[in-house]
Amino acid sequence: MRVAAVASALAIAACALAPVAALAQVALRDLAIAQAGRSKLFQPQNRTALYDQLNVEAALGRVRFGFRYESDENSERTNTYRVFTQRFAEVADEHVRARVGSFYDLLGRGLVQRAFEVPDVVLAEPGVLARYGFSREMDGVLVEGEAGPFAAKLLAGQPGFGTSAPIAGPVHSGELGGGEASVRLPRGARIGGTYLRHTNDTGTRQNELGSGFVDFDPLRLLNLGSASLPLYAEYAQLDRSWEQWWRLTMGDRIPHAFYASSNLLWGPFALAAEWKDYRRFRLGFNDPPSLTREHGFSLLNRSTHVLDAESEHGFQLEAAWSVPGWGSLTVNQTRSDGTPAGRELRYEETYWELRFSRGPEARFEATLYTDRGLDQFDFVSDRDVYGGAATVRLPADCTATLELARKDATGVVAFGRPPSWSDRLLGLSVARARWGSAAFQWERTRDPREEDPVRAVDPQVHALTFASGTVTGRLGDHYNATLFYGKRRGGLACTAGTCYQVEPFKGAELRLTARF
Amino acid sequence: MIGSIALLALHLTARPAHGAPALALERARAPEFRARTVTGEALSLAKLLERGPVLLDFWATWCRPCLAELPELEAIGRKYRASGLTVVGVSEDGPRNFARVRPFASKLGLTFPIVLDEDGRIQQLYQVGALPTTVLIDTAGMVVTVREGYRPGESRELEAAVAKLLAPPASEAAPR
Repeated sequence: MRVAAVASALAIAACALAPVAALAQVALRDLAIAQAGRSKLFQPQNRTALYDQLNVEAALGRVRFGFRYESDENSERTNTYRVFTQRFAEVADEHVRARVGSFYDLLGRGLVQRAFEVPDVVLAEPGVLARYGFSREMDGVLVEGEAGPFAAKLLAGQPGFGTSAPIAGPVHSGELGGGEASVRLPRGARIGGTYLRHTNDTGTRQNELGSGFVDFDPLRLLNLGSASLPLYAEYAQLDRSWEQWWRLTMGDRIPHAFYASSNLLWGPFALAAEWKDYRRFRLGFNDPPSLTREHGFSLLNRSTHVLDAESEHGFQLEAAWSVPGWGSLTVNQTRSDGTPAGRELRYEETYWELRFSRGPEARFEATLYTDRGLDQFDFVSDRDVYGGAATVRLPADCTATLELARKDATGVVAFGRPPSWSDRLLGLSVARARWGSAAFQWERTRDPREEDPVRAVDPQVHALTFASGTVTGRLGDHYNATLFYGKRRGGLACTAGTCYQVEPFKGAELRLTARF
Repeated sequence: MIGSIALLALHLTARPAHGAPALALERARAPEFRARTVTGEALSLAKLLERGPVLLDFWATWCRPCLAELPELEAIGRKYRASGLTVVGVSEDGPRNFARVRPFASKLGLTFPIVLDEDGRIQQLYQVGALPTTVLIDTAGMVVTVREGYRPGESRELEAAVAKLLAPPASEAAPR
């Protein structure tokens, strides 16, 4: 707590001195989202809301300082706020970096700790519907440095969880302290370890965590240059003694996290393989790899699996074969098994993608995909998604893209006939280089879990249709604007490896970004 | 919104010193960063700038516009590599997607260095909010242009900016 308080004071002092430093180079980025419409049934249809996030950074030689100011207002005047959510001061040279205030960092692959944000992703807190930028920053002190083959990182402070709007100010809880040390070995190999001590918010409970990792390429070590096979493995434990640490126990009763990954690159062939085994490792401030493919296509992006590090093991394999001048074939196989509440559940997915592209600036390119699987965590016993997208280049730097997708799913029920439903999606967009784009999207679902509660008394599931138009434009060199009008489907969405719930919305939304 | 309006007002009232429609970012110094590529090589912006201009591209494996943009950047990189241009891909894939970055780059036939921005520090340094974002930096370390998003055909605009940077000064190019 004291570390965070000192860090806050130093960061605020540095920011306060910012105007004095007239020679500082200042960079600003602002994201504003204005909405007119409603998300929930009980809201008025003409609700208006305005979210703004201003990021200011200044650099003066080797010193940098900055802040983030967020505000959210709405016509109901409830749960509004205007608050500085981040501030920092940092000094860095070629070998050392020290930062006080808000910071992001990653220890190992995130098994024990990861502080991060997903830029430009604005969430609405369930219940209160106040919006906020998704950020799980640390508030404290970070020092890291390198000397020859050795690298070390030390951190202390309070983690943020990114689950609530800062209506009463930034939310941080508990205390974290520790770091990472690693050494680089010949031929690109690296070995290292992490250690963390976590104290809960009331100071009544303390945990110790640690992990060890190796990162090497056996083919490179053997001097076989024709292929590449990088391997990474990390094993983490919680509250174990020094003797227990070396046993690498994987049992159900021992809190642990094990992650391993490898790539094989051989000419036009590429293979990625990952393995996970997480038990009782949902810590709140960590973010182990989920080993579920993140898809760019809309229906697939929402049909994903959210990791529960409390109990999960599985693998992901992805193979790709490319033919220059023609395109590529990608196959992905993912499986996650878990036992939440003592029940054995499985998520499984087999994805095939065929991409046709003759190369840069080809007149025509297309992608076809099919994805078959099941998601017992989400009460889906069978799921098929297939679709594709095609882009045609037109004269005057214009392009037109058509996207089609369909999903058929069968649910899981304890008694009676399991429900089946389908989702359909059609997207059409036209873009012109340097100008912008206009897109239309139509989506229909018969998913019983999304049915309008007013109509749920009828045994027949009524289809929900979502139609929307989006216009995006670049306004000069400094502004980008996106205007959305229509009905947006709520539910799960994933960006940059992080999944979150999106509130449904009906109305108009203007998103404006400015940077200087 | 208040911030945007303030920035817009600042922009409209500001007059560039040399009269050109130059803007703050275009005169900004690119923040220095050091990172390791996916193949393990150390890379620093200062070192790269000793060789020539640098084109930074922030992308991710799940980003569909990036899939179309990356081969075009590869073509620009190959064309101007001998003249000193270095294209650097900064992957914003989180730990969830790290393992797929190298195979993805291999699938697209990318030969320029790719950095894993593991803790998001480079993204934060350059205030990147949307993917892809491309930043062109001249040999003096100044940001020439920042482009957020991608639409087919826009790489030609970028290539023109690269060619302009690499062109000899008018005084040297003019016949004597």
